[in-house]
Amino acid sequence: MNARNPHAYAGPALVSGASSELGLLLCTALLESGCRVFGLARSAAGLERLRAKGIAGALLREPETAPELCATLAGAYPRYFADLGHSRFESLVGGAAPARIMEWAAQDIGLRARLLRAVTRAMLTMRAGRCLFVSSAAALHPAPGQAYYAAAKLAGESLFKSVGLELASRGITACSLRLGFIETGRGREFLKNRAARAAALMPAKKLLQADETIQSMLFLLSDAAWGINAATVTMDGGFSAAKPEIREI
Amino acid sequence: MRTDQTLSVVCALIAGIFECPPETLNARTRLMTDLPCESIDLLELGAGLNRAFRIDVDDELVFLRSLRVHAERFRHDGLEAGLAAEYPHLSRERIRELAEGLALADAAPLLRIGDIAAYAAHALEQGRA
Repeated sequence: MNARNPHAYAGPALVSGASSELGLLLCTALLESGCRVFGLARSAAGLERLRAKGIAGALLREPETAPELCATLAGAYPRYFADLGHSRFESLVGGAAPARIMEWAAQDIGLRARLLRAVTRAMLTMRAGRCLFVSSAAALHPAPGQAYYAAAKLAGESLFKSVGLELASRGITACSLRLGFIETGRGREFLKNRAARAAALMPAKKLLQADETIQSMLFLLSDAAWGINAATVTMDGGFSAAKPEIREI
Repeated sequence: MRTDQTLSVVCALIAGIFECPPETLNARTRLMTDLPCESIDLLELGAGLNRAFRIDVDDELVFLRSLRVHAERFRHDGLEAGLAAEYPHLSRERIRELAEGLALADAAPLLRIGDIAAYAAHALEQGRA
């Protein structure tokens, strides 16, 4: 808890996709709030980024070991779980090679399901936990080439929703946060030559800032947000609520 | 860990889930008929076994979820031998009892606390091997 984050956390937070731009920002904000953080990265370079920020972490290899690793390196089983993990695979539906499709399913759906299973089983032994899945507005409105990305995000939302339904009676709740345009990660690449046009189409005429999304994540991950359970929150400045004709970009 | 110690830990886990005194539970207690056990309780128990014994828990196996499927498979082809192969953690006597129970038309769910303790003891033994 600090001036920028009024929320308190009763145990360690496990963050997957921790080495992404948003992941690093979230981990840092949690650490500044006094929360112990254990980050998971998918590459050695990602793990190095975590270490450079002073964040305890490990490579995501066998998801089933993640809770024990968290207990070893952050002092306890994860009490909070934020999932920002995602591969960079994008393709037109018909443009993906069969083997790549199988790899996508294993990485962007299977691995997430295994990690969520392992983390929530650990949470069950404490009868307490809060899970947040960081999704994308593209889950509902994919641009051409985002079908696999969107399908994986929808699968993730569905898994987290079911966790919230199945385990709420055991003190474990979950929700998803769909983010709109942000100038981080793949969003930065997309907005490279489109930022001004995208901002003009936003109801508030400005793009969301990464720090604003972190503030929302800090709240949604906290116990105070338990009532936002088995639900998906959209944070896109109202962009997706506008009529389709003014959403052309 | 001795078998009676394993049983004692399992009873304590189950007592915690159902908020009942551990001394009211024993190896013969039937999970689905003597206790108000639902699928989420088994999930919590599986997670608890994993943590308490530091063992990988196969929910399908420990809770005999496919018992009737296996019974159908082996109905005409050595039921007891088939069940013994599927459930190596159960004693011969317990396998025989399960086979007899499956023969009853209105057989209630057969899982007992002793089956779960046997699974944990077997997993610990395998881990030592």
